[in-house]
Amino acid sequence: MNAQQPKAGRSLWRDAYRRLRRDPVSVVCLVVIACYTLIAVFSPIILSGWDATYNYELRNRAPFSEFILGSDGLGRSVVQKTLLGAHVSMTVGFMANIIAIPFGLLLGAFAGFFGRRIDDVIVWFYTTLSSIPSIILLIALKFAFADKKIFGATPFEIDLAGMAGVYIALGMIGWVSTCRLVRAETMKLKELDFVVAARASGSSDLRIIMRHILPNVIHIAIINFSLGFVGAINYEVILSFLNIGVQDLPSWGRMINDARMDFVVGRWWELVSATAAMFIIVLAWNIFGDRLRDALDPKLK
Amino acid sequence: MGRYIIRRLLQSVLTVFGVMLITFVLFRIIAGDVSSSYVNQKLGMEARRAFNEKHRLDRPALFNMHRRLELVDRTMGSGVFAVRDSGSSRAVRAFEIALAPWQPREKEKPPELTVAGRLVFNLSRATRLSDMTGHKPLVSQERQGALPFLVIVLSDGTVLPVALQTITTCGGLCDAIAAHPANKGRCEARISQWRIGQLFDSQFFWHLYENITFSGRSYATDQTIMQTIAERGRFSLSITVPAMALGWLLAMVLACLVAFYRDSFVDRVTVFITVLGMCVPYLAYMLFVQWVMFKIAPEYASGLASPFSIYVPVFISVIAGLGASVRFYRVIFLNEINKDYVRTARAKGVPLTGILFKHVIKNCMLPILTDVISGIPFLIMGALILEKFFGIPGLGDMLLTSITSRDVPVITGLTFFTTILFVISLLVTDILYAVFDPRVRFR
Repeated sequence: MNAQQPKAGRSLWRDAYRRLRRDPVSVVCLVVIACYTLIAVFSPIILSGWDATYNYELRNRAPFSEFILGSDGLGRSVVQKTLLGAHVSMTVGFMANIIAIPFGLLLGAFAGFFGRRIDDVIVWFYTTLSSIPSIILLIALKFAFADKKIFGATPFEIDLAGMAGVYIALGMIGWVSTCRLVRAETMKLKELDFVVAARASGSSDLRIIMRHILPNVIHIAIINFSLGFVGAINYEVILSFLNIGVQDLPSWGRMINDARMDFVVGRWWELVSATAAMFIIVLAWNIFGDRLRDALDPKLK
Repeated sequence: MGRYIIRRLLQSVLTVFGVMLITFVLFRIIAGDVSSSYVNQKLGMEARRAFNEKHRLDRPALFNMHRRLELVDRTMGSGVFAVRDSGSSRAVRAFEIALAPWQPREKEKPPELTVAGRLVFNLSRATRLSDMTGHKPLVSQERQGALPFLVIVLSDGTVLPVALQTITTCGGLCDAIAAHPANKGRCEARISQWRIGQLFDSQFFWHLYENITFSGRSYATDQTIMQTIAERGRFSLSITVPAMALGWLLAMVLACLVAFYRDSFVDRVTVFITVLGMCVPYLAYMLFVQWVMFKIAPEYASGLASPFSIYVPVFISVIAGLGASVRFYRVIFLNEINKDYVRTARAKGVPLTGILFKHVIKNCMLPILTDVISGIPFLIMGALILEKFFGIPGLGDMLLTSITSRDVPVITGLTFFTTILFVISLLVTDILYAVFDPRVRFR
């Protein structure tokens, strides 16, 4: 394969990879993200008995006493709680994007490629969605999901009242920005010679979209992934503040929300550790997202 | 140009319609019957039915193609016209026959008393009674085998017990009542007339009407949306107007500064700090600032006891939003500074300050103003979370409260209000663009 390509040719992906690898900041960010992912995957397994470790004798202890970062109102370790919180935040961020990005990508490509009525309908749909404040939509969806289950009585049962409801709701409103960008890019691409050539050689519309358009817009989806991730983590906190977030698992949003009363009376450790944990991952995603954008799409600035 | 504006107007109307459709589906269809949370349980089904009737929740969802079974009393006696069940029947409840005389919507009253049953889609003489009752059995479980009767008591005291055992269709019921030996034309059962005007007497069209006229009434307080906005809007505005003005001014100054000292130490530090600021969760800002306020001036930390306490949420709003706007404006400024005309002017010896303030800012105003204007409607709603947190009785706080208590007219009314402002400001910016930037192509 490689031998047939011209010597100077380097694929977009390899080029972007090279740029990112040479940049120490993005390597550090990527390492941070990888660490968080590992914590998110393994903390629920290692700390599975955390819920049962309550001890009323040791509640609300300050840091550096019995516990490194103190204990919460039920006498459980705040360090472990923060590590467990990574599971919820990373899952919500990841799953919301897994739902939103393919949806936005496909709809955007279809709207941009087919134009006319299909374009009108899709544009109308996302303009409508984006003119409702997203927090209202999110709360409404979360309420609509209350005590509902999908795929009930199958092994894939999803309880929409819990964490799944949060990321499905986020996914349902998060696709708009991806769709908008992909649509604009597709409209430019479909005028280019290689698409015209593909059509002249008899490729079907679907094949052109899948083989020629999507590979050329997928970098937008990847750039939007980092933005969506940050947004999802932030919304999780807001939903927890409104008491409609994740209910049954420890999450950073719940820790910050629970700390509202604690903080005023001087128990700062729970708030600070949740905020710090969030701050680091959001910072890593923000910087990495910027670098990724510079590497993948130098035109966008 | 004129065609472009008309096209944009049309698009805006469609968007507004779409928003009403989405709020209808989300809050009316999915929310379901909310009467149980607003009517005292002890008052029973009758009170809930009255509540649904008052808020027009008994109407069909989309188009009113419904008719009802009417019982007409022609005797005009002095007694009470009523429909009862025999001991073994549950027909009144199953048909949802209203026990109070039902008034048709016309101006003049018809010369007869009417009681009306449940609205059923496309009711005709051939409709089966079991479809009409929603497949609820007419005979109570514990009295299986007993003959179910529908007992009609006319206002002159005549009692017509109609056996329901052998009747299967609505037409059959009408005939059985007409053929009853004690009847002699005094009571008639019929299927109500359907009028074309009735088609839009449905939940969806009332929803549209209430939204457009802001006349929806809160379930909880019975206030119209208009009154709510007039009463609470000023609290939201008193936070968001200063926050927006201050935030915009600060962001402009900082962005100008970093664009002026671009690629220097000042630029890097400012950009780094704004990135850091963007990464702190909003709630943490609020908690921290409130904690500081508790330490230094506890009387301003929450609520509206003093007019100065409004500046605490304003401050948070400015700080939390600063990072993103500084970064955005900086990019716009830098793009403009790197253009050829700036280089030419510098080559001719014009000082950078002069170019920056004379030309660059002017040329950057269009995207920046777009950004600011499109932010206006969301700010009129108030920062929802801020209002909730600091206990400020603005519109955002009202909206969040009404979402948790399922006060549907308030939610949809306020959402519609925000949307219409948003759509109008988008329209204005687009038209401004078209007027002031000749490079924009009309499409």
